[in-house]
This record gives sequence, structure tokens and C-alpha cells, in this order.
Amino acid sequence: MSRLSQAKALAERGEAGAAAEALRAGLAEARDCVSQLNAAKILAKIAGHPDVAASLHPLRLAVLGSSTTTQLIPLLRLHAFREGLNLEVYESPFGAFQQEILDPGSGLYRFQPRIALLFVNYRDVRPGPLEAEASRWTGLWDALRERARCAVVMNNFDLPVERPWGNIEAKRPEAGIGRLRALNALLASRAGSGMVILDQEHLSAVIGKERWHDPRFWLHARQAIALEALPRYAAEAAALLKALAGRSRKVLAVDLDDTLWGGIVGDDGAAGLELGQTPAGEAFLEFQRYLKSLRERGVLLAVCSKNDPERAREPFAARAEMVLRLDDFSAFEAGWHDKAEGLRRIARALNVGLDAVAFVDDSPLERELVRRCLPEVAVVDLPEDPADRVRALDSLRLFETAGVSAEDLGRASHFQAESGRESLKREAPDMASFLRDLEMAAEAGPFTESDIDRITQLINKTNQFNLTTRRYGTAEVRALMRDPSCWTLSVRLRDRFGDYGLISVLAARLRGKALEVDSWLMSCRVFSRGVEHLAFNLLLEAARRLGAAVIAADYIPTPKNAPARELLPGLGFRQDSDGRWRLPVAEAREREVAIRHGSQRTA
Amino acid sequence: MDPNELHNQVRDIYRRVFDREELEISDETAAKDIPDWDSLAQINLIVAAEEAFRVRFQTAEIRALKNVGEFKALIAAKLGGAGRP
Repeated sequence: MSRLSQAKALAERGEAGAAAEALRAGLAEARDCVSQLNAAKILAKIAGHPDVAASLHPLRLAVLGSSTTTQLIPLLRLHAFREGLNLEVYESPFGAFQQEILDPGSGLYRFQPRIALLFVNYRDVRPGPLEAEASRWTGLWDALRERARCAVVMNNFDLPVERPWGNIEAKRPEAGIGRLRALNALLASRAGSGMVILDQEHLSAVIGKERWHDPRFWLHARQAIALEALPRYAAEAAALLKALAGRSRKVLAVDLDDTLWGGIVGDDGAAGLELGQTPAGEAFLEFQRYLKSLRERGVLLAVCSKNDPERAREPFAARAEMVLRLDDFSAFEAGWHDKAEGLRRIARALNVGLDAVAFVDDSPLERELVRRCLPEVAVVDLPEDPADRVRALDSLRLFETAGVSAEDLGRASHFQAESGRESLKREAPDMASFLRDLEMAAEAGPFTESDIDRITQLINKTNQFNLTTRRYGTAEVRALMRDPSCWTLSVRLRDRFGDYGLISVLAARLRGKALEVDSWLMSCRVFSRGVEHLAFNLLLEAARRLGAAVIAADYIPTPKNAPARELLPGLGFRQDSDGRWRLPVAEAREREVAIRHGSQRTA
Repeated sequence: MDPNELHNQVRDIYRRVFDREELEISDETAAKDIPDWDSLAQINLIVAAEEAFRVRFQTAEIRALKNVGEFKALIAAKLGGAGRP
């Protein structure tokens, strides 16, 4: 069942709060206009409920359209909801937006909007001298702002597909697109404080003007923007509303490994990271350049990485290709705590609410964790291909600014105080339910001949979660597998995000009454999910079956294996004077794991 | 396209546009039978069908539809005649 269907069912049962959560989580499922209109219907059912309204910031918006706004308004509400706003909307009567503005007694002014959106298109532009036409528009702005004392958003004019004069229109400001371009530039230059231009001309070009304009639906229903393109306009307008409400994101927290650079610094070392040189390596640098531009326009950058704090900083010094330097970051959180905790620390350090933070990570798992634990944080779904990432981040318009001071809105400071309280509410991440919802399933069993190559590879590649960092070749692995005194375990894992393959290896040898761990390692892709606890439970079961009285293990520190340091004490092992960690089998107890453990494969 | 398959795909479009998973339609189903089937829903139906079947409706065809049967016949004709009832 999709989240949107869940939201719909919850809304119908009257569980508005839960429906709102499901709707928010399911918004990404609604990509096309029809799905978004359906999602907007769910929102319409629940938006008035006190539980929902209390979690959103109310905003009074007047939509003044020269064309049909029937579909636009529910889409605006939906996208504003995504941005944490609850719109109360006034829709001007069809075709009468100018009368509404010019008549001081109109419904528009009785409504008392905080923001007015002028939804216009190139067909509204009249012939005649350019200056007179520009004044006609700025006159409407002035009347509106003077009477309603609200901020005004107007989209600029979309250049049409058709050019009767052909290319010469580009150099003739008298008619056609040359005139529209000149008018757009003139109006932009006159849009002072409290007046925001929504760059429809850019948006329509991004989507493609042949898709943006569909003459059939203009003729039938006065749809100025084709339905398939309308959600894009709504998203852009919502981003500006959010900016005007003083609620744009201020901080971008980024992961490091496979996000800022290709590869894993803990495994590959600073010198082994992919940066520049290859096409994919170039893409990581492009991403860094984009972040640098954000930084230059005032967005605070922060690092949020599961890494050794020292190693995480190395590439900044060691790799000359790095575009971002350490001092570009206002906060640097690298450690072994989960990312929700990292983001909380970043927000505290920078003195912002979590709803001012956006988070970028290549791992769908980490993104899901943050979405679950910190719903206020904007989580960016980074595409797998690094070349697509700048665009994906940019299209979310997270850091939109209106270019007006908050005072223009009057109540902006009220919004900000509210949001500070809001972010304190849900501090405790429910890790257990998060792990359960991953629907993890493991296949665990002794080494098999068909797995030998992968096991050998993992033994030689794994640096971080590795108790002893003993490296073995294929022949040695095969010898372990065949040794009757050896107990071996390999673990495969999958979850609803995908199949991780064989990701953990454990080998132990029975010596007298002690089951001695020779190697225990796990891929960093599956940290913090309880795989080590599953392995431990199986180890304990083996110890009992083999009649061992004690499990013994070593932790051999290396520059890279800090992540394994807490494993043994965490499982109840105690370190003896010989440096070895031991756990009496009689005292040991199983760990709870959220991993369904399937068939025990036999060798 | 096989008439049954066409029917099912058109039914799925109606279900999506009207957001009713259990909605059943017949060739005789007309706007008066579905309360939300107004002129805007009509446009949604057209857009959804254009996307699903990779066809394009002409301006005059958009408002001329009397019922589901006519809608299906129009789609079938655009798909090359196969499946015409």
C-alpha cells in the first residue's frame, strides 16, 4: 500500500494527524498533476483539523489570476503543505483580477492577505509603448501593496513558442518576444522591496515551452500552463511563499563518503578517493562547486558524516582538487553516532531550528533514518549518478530567498518563534521502529565454496568494522572452511531498499573449552543495523552447541578500525590482563535484532 | 489492442482521475453517472489518456465525448483501429 493510499484511508477514518504524516511522507510518490491533485484532495480533508493546523504555519494568500486557477490552487496548497505552510486562499473571480486590485471595496481587500500572487501570462500584455505597459503593471502592484499592505509575488511573462517575425523578434523591442523580454527586464528592475518576481520564463524554458503551453487546453479551459507543467509552477511559488514567511532553509548538511567525493576515506584513504580526473570524479567536483556557490550566497554548510573525525578531515588537506575547504564549513560533525544525532548537534551548534536544515546523503538508508527521526529536516533524494545531483538539489529550491526583509511581512518573526518551539517536539528517534520498518532479511551460514571469492575480497578490503584486520588469500579461506575445529559464518543482507549481498564474515576456532574469534568483520554499508548482533547470536549458539565455556576475541587497533572498538565491551566481553576479551557462555545473552533470519545455509 | 485490455486501462485512468480504486465503468457510463466528472475532470481524463496511450486528442475531440464507450472508441481509433468495439 502506497503512503498516499494510507494517507487517504487515514483521512477517511478521521485520523487527521496520522494522515498528514503519511501524506508528507508520500508526497514524493505524486509526480504527475493528476496524482498531485488527488493528494491535494486528501490535504483538503484534513487541513482544517486542529491537529494538522497546529503543526503548520498559517498563511493568508490571495491568488489573482488572469486565467483559470482552479487546478493551481489545490496544487499550491499541496506544495505549501510540503513546506510547512497551511494556506488560507482567496481566489479572485475569473477574469477580474484587475478590478479586484483597483476596487478598494473588493473581496480581495476584505480578505486581508499577507501575500498576493499575481498569476499572469504573456497574453495579458497589451500593445503600445513599452513604458506605458510597464507602468500599468507597476500601478497594479502599488495599488495592491498600498491597500492590502501585503507582499506581492508576480510571475514574469513566459515567452511564447510562436514568433511571427522569426529571429528578428530578438532584436525588436516593439513586438513579439523582444518586447516581452524588454518588459520582463523593466519590471524586474522596478520590483522593489516587498515585490517578488517568480521567474516563469526560466521555468517554462526548463520544462520546454512546447510542453508548458498547450493551446488546446487554453482554448477549452483557459489553462495558461499545461497541466503536466503546472506542478512545477506550484512548487516554485510555494518555495517563494516559504521564503516570504521567513522559513527557507539556512543550513545544508552534507555527507562525505560518496557524496562530496567518490569512495570511502576510511577504506580507500584520502589518496584513493575519486575526485576530478575521471568523468564521475569531475561530477563530485561539480557538486562541490555548487555547494561553494550556495556558501557564497549565505547558506551555511555543515558536514554530517559517519567517520573517524581525523580521517574525515584528511582529504581537505591532502587533496588539492577539493573545491571546498575546511573553513567553508560552519560545523563539522564526524563520528560514529547516528546521523539524526549529528544533525541535532549541527542545529545546536549553529543555533538554528531543525526546520532550517537540509540534509544530503547518498545512502537511502541514512535518508530514511533522518526522515523518520527528524521530520522537520528537508532530506534531499540524491540520485545515484553523481552527474545528476546538482540538478536534483537545485530543483528543490530549498534556499529560495525573497530578497525582502522579514519586516515586510509583519508576522515573519512570529513564524520564526513558532518554528523554534516546533522543532523541540520530536527529539527522540525511535530507532527500533525504524529498523523494523526496513524489513531486513539475512541469510547466514558457514562459508561455502561458491562464496570464497567474495569472502576473500571482504576480508582484504574491510578496514573499519574489522576486529583483527587479518588478511587471508583464497587458499587460507578455504583452509578455514575445511578445518573441522573452525566455525565460520558469512551473512547476506537485504532490505526494502535493495540487496547488499554478502556483507559480514566471522571465523572462530574451538580450542579446548574456548571458542576463539579469529576474524570478525562487516562492510561499512550495513553499519548500525544490528548485523553484528545477529552474528553474535549465531556465534553464541555455536559456542553452546560446541560445548565451549567461553568466547574469546581480540581487538587489534589500527588507524582505521575505530568503528569496531566498542563491539566487544558492548556485547558484555571483559578485557583480561593479557589484553584478550572474554565472555563466559553461561553469562552471555542473545541480542535483540530486527533482522529476519532465513534459512541457515549448509556448506 | 485487445478490447479487454483497453477497457481495463481506461478503467484504471478513471480510477486514478476520480481517485476511486473500486470504480467500475461500462461503455454507457456518462458524466451524469460520476458526480465529479466535470469539465476539469474531463481535461484530466484526456491528459491521463494521452500519457497512458501515447496519443493526442484534437481540440474538437476533447469536449465531444458522450460516454466511456465513445472515449474508448476514440482511443482505439488513434491506436490504429484494433480493439474498436
